[in-house]
Amino acid sequence: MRVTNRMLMETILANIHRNVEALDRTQHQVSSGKRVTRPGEDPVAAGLGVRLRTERGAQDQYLRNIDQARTWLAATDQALGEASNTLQRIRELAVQAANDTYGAADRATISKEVDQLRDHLIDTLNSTILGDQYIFAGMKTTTAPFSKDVAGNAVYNGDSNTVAREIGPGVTIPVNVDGSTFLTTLADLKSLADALADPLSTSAQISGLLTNLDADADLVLATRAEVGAKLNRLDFMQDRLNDLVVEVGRLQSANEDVDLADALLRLSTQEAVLRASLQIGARTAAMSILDFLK
Amino acid sequence: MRSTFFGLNTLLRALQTQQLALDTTNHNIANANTEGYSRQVASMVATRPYTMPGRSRPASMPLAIGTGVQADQIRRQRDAFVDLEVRQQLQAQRQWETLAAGLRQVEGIFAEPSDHSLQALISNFFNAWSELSNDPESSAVRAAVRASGESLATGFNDLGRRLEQMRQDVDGAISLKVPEINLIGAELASLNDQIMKAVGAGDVPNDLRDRRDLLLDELVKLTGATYREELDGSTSVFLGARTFVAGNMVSELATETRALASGGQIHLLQWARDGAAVRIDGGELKGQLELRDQTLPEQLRQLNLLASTLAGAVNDQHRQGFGTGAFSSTVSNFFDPVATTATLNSTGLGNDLYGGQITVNGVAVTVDPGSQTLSAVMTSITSAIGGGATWTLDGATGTISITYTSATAVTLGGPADTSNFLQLVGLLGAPDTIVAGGPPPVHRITGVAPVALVRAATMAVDQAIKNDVQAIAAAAGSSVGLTTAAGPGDNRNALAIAGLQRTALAALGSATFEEYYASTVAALGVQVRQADELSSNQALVTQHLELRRQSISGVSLDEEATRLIQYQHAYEAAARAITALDEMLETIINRMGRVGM
Repeated sequence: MRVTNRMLMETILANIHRNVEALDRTQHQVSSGKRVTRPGEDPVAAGLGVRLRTERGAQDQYLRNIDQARTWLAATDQALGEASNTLQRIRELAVQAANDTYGAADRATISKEVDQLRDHLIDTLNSTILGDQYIFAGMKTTTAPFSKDVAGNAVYNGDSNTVAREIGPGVTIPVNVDGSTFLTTLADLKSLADALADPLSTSAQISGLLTNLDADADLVLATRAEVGAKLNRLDFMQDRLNDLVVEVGRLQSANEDVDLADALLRLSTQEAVLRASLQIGARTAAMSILDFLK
Repeated sequence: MRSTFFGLNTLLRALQTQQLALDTTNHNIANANTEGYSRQVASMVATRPYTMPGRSRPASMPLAIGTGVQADQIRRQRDAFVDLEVRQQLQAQRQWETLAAGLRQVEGIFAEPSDHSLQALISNFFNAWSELSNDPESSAVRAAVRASGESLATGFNDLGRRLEQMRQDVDGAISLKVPEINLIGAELASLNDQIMKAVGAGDVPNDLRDRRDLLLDELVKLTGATYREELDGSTSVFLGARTFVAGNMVSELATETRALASGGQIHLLQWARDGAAVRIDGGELKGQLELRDQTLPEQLRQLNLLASTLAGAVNDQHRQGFGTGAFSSTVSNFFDPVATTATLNSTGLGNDLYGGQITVNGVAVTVDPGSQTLSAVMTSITSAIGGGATWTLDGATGTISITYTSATAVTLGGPADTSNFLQLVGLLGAPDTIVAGGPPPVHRITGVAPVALVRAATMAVDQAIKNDVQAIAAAAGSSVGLTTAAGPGDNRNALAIAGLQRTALAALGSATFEEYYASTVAALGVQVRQADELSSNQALVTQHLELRRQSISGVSLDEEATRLIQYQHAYEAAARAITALDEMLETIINRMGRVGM
């Protein structure tokens, strides 16, 4: 083939251009740390990238939701623990009062204490999370769930709706305890206080009320056990999600990140090739018969 | 008998011919870097020999004495077949190169994969709803939901506007090509004229032909035009099988502007003479037309469909719940609902809709996107069909269907249609099925494509939500039989809206929002990759052919320098021979017959 000067130049230029382009691509990969920076570079990876990011975003949110559910359940657990202690103390007082050696005046004093403890229980059941949400009020979270009417009977102002948190794709967990279930307890305590205040009450009558107190304490314990089980479930979900976060992160990295060893190797090869093409180009481009003619 | 001065004539011709060859070489050297120049070679032939009949030889075999050299013509070194091949590849290369560049721009607009793309905005939006389900009482979280909704709408706006703007830019580039093409046509016609005259006069207009070949290259690169060499030396040029340049005549192109419903305009290419559409078969222009008429509308359609489906699904769920405080028993949309109540130009259809008319069952129905809603046009269509026709827009699949009673099937669309409404709502060529026997039978036409009612470029959060975050419906409502929100802690609707993120939607081909978006990104990637690969392959082929062309037509300075020496020596030798002859004549004239003088 007949080769002209211009052909020579153009071939040299085209090759240098191609080498620079390849070098630029690799350099971009190395400096950005990403193998794929445009969908066109790897359409499948780009599509997968969108899905994995969505997955990651959702996982982060689920982890936040789990934290939030845990805050709620932990507050409930604490409140129930406090309620349990209160009931325990009241029971001790009731057992004490049921003793025949206690007179009406002693019982009246105990009755006052029971009243105080009952108020404390109401306060406990009116617990909030950071002063924001009443945890025993169902969905009426901004209303204190328990109050007393003029007769001193406990009134429930919340509702019986279940408050749920989403802790996984389509997985919800109820976080609240229906406060209305404690109305009986509060009524039982009122009866106890009333009975203690009544000078006509007999020890047998007071002892009879102990059965109710035991049932009430069992209810609190059972509820607390349920809350504990839910907390365990949250821990389990969180562990699983954390595993998934690691896994998705790994997939994301495998999908988009550059293999540095490979890229650096390519970079140095491409550098060498470019250097060679520049050198050879410079040498051939300068050659002309005119240099040798006298 | 030969003349005494016979040799002088031979040598004079030699001097002149070598001089001519030297001049040609100089011309080549001068044009070594001229675009489109083909090297020229003075073709030398021996002149007719002088025949001298001799006594000893028969008259049929006279003694022939050479009379020297002459240049019969200056030939341009060019291979028409290589030209044809180069041009065929050039136009394909330009087409793919333009398309690839445009697609890369689209890629840039979508900015995937990254943490700041539309995907992130969609993800954030649904995460904000999930967060709201944790804390439905909090105004701060409500404000965050509104902000994420506004960011999402802005994200759609930005993508939509940039795609729309890019389409306008491409259209602008197309409209600018028309005068350029006409100019090339006019110049080709004028060159044809000069070449025909020169050829007629027996000349060889090499440099004019080079100039014409260069212009042809340009035109082919632009438009993929085809051409034919005529016997009279002219070249006829065709665009889409119609004559563009013939002899010294050019048939000019023109543009017709059509306004798009959403604003902006599209320039249609026409023949100035009769307004017929111009068919462009290749080149840069084909790539641009493909971008403007296929790639970008398709991207916009997908984006609008995504915006439309997302806004629709969120709104549907949002309207099933209640806000809080003053809004605990009122329902509202979350996104601005355009749906069937807005004029067509502000819907997603506006991106590709023209005002005009459509033909339904032979009846002309006017489509005015600026004043009519989808409902209005559909109602005109159903009344044109008659037979108790009704239409519905299926919320789940996003398709329109028409039901009517008639003995015969109706025809939708006609050759005189100036609006592409039917095509856009998927009714053109949609299947007509008989759903009840009759007589007369009940027909149903179901649209083949989902209708994008929200225009991504103008998607917005509803005014009610903008005014007060308490209107955000986190609480369950009518869906669970309530007439008022259960309480500030009611998060059921927020959970339901957050759950939409994982819901596969029929209108998106049974994909979730993000799956649909991921698949459009992947599909765009495939398109870019294909265009990239084709354009770089094509570039290699073109480069190879260009080298072949250069190999034939290009000027080699080494070669020319060598020729220069060659011709110079021949010239010097001829001059020396003249001197020799001169000395001989000197002998004859001055020294002969002078014996004893």
